[in-house]
Amino acid sequence: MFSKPIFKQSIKTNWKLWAIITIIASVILSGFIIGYDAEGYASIAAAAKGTAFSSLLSSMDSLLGNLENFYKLIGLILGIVYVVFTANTLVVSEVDSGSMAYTLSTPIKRSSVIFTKSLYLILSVILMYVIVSLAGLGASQLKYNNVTGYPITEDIEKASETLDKSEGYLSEHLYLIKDNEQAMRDAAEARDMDLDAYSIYLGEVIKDHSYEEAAKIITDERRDIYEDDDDMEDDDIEITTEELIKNPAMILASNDALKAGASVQGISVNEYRQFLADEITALKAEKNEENKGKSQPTVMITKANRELLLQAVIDSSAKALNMNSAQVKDNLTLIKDPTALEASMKATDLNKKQIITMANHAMVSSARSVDAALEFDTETYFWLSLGLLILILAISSVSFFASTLFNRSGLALAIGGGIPFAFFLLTMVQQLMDDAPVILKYLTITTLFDTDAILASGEFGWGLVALGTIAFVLYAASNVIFTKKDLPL
Amino acid sequence: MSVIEVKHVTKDYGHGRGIFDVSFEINEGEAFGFLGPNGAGKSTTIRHLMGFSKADEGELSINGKDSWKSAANIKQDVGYLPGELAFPKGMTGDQFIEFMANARKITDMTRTEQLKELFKVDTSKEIKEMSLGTKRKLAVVTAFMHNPKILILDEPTSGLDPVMQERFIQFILKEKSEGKTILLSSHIFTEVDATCDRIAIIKNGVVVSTVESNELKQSTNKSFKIEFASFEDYQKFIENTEFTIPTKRPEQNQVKLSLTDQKMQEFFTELSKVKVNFISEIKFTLEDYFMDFYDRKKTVAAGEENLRYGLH
Repeated sequence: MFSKPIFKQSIKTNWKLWAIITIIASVILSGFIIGYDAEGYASIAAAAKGTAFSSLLSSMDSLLGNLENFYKLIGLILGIVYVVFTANTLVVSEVDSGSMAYTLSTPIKRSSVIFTKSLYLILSVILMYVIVSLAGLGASQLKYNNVTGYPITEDIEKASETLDKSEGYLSEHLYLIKDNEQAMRDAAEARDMDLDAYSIYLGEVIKDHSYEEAAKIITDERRDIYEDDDDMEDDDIEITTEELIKNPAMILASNDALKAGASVQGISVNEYRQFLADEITALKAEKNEENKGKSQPTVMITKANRELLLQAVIDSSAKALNMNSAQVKDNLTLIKDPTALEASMKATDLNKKQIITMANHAMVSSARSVDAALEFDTETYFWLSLGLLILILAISSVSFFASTLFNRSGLALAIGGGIPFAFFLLTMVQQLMDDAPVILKYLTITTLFDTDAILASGEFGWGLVALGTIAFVLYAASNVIFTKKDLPL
Repeated sequence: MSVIEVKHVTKDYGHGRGIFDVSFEINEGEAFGFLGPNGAGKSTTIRHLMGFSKADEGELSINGKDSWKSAANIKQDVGYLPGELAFPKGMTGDQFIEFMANARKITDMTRTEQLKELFKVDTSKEIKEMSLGTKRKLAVVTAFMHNPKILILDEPTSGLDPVMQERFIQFILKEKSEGKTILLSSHIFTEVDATCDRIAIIKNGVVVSTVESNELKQSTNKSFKIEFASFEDYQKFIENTEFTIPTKRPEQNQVKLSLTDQKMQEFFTELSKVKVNFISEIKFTLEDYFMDFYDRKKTVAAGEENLRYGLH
């Protein structure tokens, strides 16, 4: 079935366009990743909350979400350009010009010719998107170290200079920063926090990392235990970091998990045991507190009024310091200035401790959201990449089908290029218009590649199966048609 | 034994285009000419023989194998020279030769080198930069590189200069002497005349006549044009002659007639009774024969009529 000479000839005629598109797509994807401004998007997204832009920006609050426009638009159109022109060159242009006559004057079967050409298109698309995906992965790893390890944030960069340790090493041994006063100060400054807030932040990050490492080990152990148990789904076996945050007691049951967690914290296993015990007590206390309620302060901070109160504190601090609110918002440590505190207490009836806690909390949570934005979810990235690949394969099958069905190159290009381009335009309208008519969704196969669902860990598998089926059916049909049709050679 | 067989093949493209009930067969070692104007159906027939198109009706076979079903298998023994000089894009001549050699699984390139030498072709250039003649030579080299037993040649010499045309004809004659079976389609009379044993003439998709080349050359029919000295002589000859006179030109006192060699004595006896200005023989060539069919206005019957009398 496979013909080596045909395959080689296909490479010779088409490699240039392939290389150009592969390079452009790799560069653009890497650019999207490297140029991602986590802090910028976080603050813009916060500012745009409740406005018409919020839906447009909502996906940009994470590194991978920010890539949605690549996967939905740029990666798509580049792929379309490649498959449309390559499909045309591979079959119909050879038939139309007559050069297919030379190929068919040899003992190579028609079925081998078309099979090999389909295979070339499919394999070249796969290789293209594997390279592009790896380029994106590499760019992210080089810039943020977030593929194989924890993201390298500005505080780690700064502290690595102070401590003369590599960034990668430091990102896995954050307690080293905690142990060095100078490093703490430099790191805090790099993240626009005061020492107080930063040490709370660092403590939380280290704790989460220790839970994450522990979660991995517990999951592995459970995998061994439930390996043969058909009743247990993968999701049931897996213990996530979030589950451990809610219930740290699970770590106590596993020695290896304890060891892993302790090493992240830079403490002994016994100390870590104590730490976990304290955490468990604190969690219980928190629960009780919620139930009982405290009546001491005049004003209670609740989830509902937290943002309003914070805004009030910021505004009054700004007034007291003779600045505008935006400046204070950018540097929340200013709230802790005595003059500002005084003014805020008057304006909000909150006590000093409450305001300081609130300021710390605001700084920590904003820093944590930047960290979260920089996290690289390998699984999500894999599905985004695979989804785009399958979508392009489905589109390539449309172009290839047109290329084998028609005998005139122009007509084949009009149909085999027009349909994919129409798909792209429909996708663009949906992507950029907030109130795009719902019917558009049903007019393009790009809808089957549901990036929103992939990013939100929703249901997206059937769409990809459908795309794969389209590709299979159209490629198979092309093979049959070409073997049976009259060729005007 | 017939190597190529075409039996009652019809392919109707509509609007009177296509081929209709085309039949012929070519025996082993025979060179068969396929003569006809552009658009007459020569290439269409060859396209069917090569398995590019499927006939509406009829059967085609090469070496006893069906041209459509065993298309790939047949090609082992077939060298095909397409009429169109459309090569794959972005290749040099050498790359194209390499591609064709790989496609045919040829490893021994001596014959290819010989052919390149014979036709003096420089294959190192990009194909798109080659002249028409060089492209044609390249096609010739790749069509014959595997030393096929059957040659199917569609307008093989168009684009070649007269020297190369002559060299090509010599090459074909040599192939023929080696026992190759040849189907040569052309609208150039001389090359068909020089190479082919039998010639089929196709017009508007119908094979109007199949002739033996030798029969034509050794025809015992002779045609003459005679001009008489005066109208009286002209009158006298017409009234007394026992020959049928298809063409009479009283204004010029001329007649045209044809007769067999056996009647030659009688003919001159008759002529001796009148005064004659001149008498000239009208040489009959394949070209004349063909021209009758070439003219689309003339019917098939008229062409056959002329063949019988060899007159114009």
